[in-house]
Amino acid sequence: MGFHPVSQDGARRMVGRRSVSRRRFLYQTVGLAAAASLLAACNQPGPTSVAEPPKPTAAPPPPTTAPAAAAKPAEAKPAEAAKPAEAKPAEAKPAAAAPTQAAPASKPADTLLNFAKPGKVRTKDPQRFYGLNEFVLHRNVFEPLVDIDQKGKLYGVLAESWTPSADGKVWTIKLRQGVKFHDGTPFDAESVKATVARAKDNDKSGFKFVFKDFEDEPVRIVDKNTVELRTKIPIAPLLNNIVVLYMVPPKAGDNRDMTYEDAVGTGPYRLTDFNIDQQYVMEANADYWQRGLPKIGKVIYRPILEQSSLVAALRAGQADLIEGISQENAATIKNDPNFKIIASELWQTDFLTVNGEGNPNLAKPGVRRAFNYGLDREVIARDILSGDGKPLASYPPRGILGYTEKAPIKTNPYNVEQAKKELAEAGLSGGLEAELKVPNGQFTKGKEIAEYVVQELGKIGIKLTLNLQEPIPALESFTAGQYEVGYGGSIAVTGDPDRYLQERIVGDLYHTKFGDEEAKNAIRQAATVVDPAKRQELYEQAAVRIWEAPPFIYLHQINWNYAARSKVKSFTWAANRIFSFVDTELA
Amino acid sequence: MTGYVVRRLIQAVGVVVGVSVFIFCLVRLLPGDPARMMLPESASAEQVQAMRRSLGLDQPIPVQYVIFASQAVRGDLGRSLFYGAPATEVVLGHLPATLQLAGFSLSFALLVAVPVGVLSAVRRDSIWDFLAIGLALAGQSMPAFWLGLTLILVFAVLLGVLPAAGSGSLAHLILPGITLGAYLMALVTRLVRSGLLDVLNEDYVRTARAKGLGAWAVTYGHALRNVLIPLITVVGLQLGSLLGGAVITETVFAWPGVGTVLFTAINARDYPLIQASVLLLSIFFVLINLAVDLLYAYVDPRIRHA
Repeated sequence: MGFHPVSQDGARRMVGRRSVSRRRFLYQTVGLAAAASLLAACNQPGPTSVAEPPKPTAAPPPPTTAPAAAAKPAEAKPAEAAKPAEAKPAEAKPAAAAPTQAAPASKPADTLLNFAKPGKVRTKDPQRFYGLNEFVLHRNVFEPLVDIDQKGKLYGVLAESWTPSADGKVWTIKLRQGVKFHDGTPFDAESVKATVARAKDNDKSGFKFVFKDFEDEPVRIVDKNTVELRTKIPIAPLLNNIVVLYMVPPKAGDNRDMTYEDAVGTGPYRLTDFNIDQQYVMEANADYWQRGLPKIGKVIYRPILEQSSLVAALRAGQADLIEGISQENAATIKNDPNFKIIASELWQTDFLTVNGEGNPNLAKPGVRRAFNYGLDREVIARDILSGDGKPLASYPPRGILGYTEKAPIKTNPYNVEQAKKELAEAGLSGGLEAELKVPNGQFTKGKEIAEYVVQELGKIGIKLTLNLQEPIPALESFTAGQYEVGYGGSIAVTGDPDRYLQERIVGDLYHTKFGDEEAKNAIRQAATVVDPAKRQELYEQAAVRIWEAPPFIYLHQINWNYAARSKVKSFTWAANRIFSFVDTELA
Repeated sequence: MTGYVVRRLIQAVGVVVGVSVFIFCLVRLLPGDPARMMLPESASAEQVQAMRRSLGLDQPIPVQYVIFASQAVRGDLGRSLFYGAPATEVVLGHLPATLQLAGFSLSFALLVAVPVGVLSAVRRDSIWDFLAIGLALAGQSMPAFWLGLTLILVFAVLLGVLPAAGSGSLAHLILPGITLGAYLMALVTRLVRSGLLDVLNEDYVRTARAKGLGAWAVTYGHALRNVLIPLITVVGLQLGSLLGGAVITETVFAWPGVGTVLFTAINARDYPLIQASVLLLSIFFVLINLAVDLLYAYVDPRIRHA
């Protein structure tokens, strides 16, 4: 495809009186484009490299002898539930990553922690969404009244103590004194009132459901440092339900559009830069109420969505701590002395959900029991998850109220003969067929575990067809009841089983048609009885009944891996994945 | 010439309207409900319905389109559900990063491809030619995500000379720029090589040689200039692809451009943002094509007069 030459004279005649020749024009265009590209590359405003040296920040005050002393909770009433924990958040460091170096920590102002995880934070407003990515950032900038430690125990953050009334409908909360928001506004009862007011009865709030059983006046101010949370019915897990409700200053209360962008909280870090796609920069709050904390001058949280890029950032020294690393990637770095893997045991359970509305065979309790007996959870936990999980066959998971191994419940009830017998008694000795829908990529090793499930249940005559689907439509089809068997999972964000059990068992979110009213009543009752021992008993009763006709086939409780460079001396993970860098320390 | 420009502008408007209808319908065919995405899983049907109402998703699709189009002509492409800001603002805010990446990739591709293509053609069947063809083949065959990760592994992890991800400096631009530009580089290398091979056999090249011009002057002064016309066309079209097709590269390198925005928007079923991203990218694509056509007419006067 040759192009015939145009003579230079001819070309000049055609161009006419133009002063720029084509040759010059082309040279200039190419030259300008190259120069502009390079200039633009060099002049991008505000470097966002995580490799940049940390800017000096105001050093937090020197450590004092102890974190702010916690007041004793008020006298416990006879029906008291929560056994108010002494509020010493700074001391709540159970089972954190073991220090690997004995070198003294650097001064906070000099230290920078580069943190990366595969999730973006959508907003600076702590009450707009109920989402894990948001919670992680917000938990460092804002603070709740109470939080839960790795053992599931409540501890006070901005609350010093809490006491339920005899009827369980009024919780009196003493607030911590001397706490200030980042702009100097004192934290007091007005802040609590404003926070609850904007989260309740607001369609734009992600927390509306938390307050559905609260009185019309949900917060009554007793005095400047004491509030009452008032509910229409007793809510046993009330404090657990608000562990992710972060306090905002009173002036934010007027913002009902959930667009509060000031990011003024009481937390250990101030949010100094927020760029959804690039980074969220947090600098130590010099006036933080816990003296001596935080121990890091600056934290840069960067969203890196691609797993391989995330690990590469760690290996290349661009990230010091990353979250959500797969077992394969963990294996590539665990023998390298420059890195360490920090495994956390989550309150997350993965399960099969069985639809009771479509295929009549799947509604039979015997068939569901056959599912339960037909799967070897040890194989899943040990071989497929490479030890990153523990067998589990009932709800709730280990570590939170209600967990039980009371007979006949077992963590791994694998028994092929029993499974076949159950099927035969259900009149299905010839087996049955159904589709197993799996949200692809949503759950750790979800596809591999699903393949194992298909293979194992096939041996007893349950022929499942695997259907891998995009996560969003797959999960929506579960709530819409448009599936036969589904692969799901749930994390107990609140550290209490109530929400899961109310939604999935009582509320039948996934259309399992679980109909045991006694079990449902036990769950309902457990939500209103504030005595934890009594609640445990009720949840055990429910679990035993659920075992007989399981709507869900629980598979395992999952571990969650963090990977860190060895300079990360300590890091306290959270079983609900909502952690704070308040006591994270660098070597 | 004016008539030509007007004709092309009218065609461009038609294309943009067509794209807007297409993308509007397409995002609504995607499984997944944006209202549900914004609410906790346990949200009641009433809450979901209320959210759908507030987002205008309870209206029939034609009605939704009319509302969208009437707002779009006034420059309002809706509000991003994920970013909580006007969608146009979000896309335009990320455009400089994408332009920067595209500009770097283009420069890289041309700076490498033109000399390599020329060398390959001039030294036909030599070792240089085989190396150039190998490079072109590799550049066109390697998927962007694989090349990107390989470059990260070598230059960021093993050698530690370049950052693995992020943005902010020239160093951050190199790996994503090469990843994105590799395909164009390969394409241009092959184009220059084949074009030049054709031209080098032309009579006027023989004449140029006969009148005693040096090899440099013959190749660059006479022969290469005639390869520029197809080159401009291809580069123009590919520039549009560089702007819109950087989704994978931007995601791998956490580059904060329009590709990342589009990826985020699709994952979040952020209808207004998907629409705005695709629509604005298509407008750029159309404008670049228009500019290429006009430039083409300028470079080759025969086209103007056709």
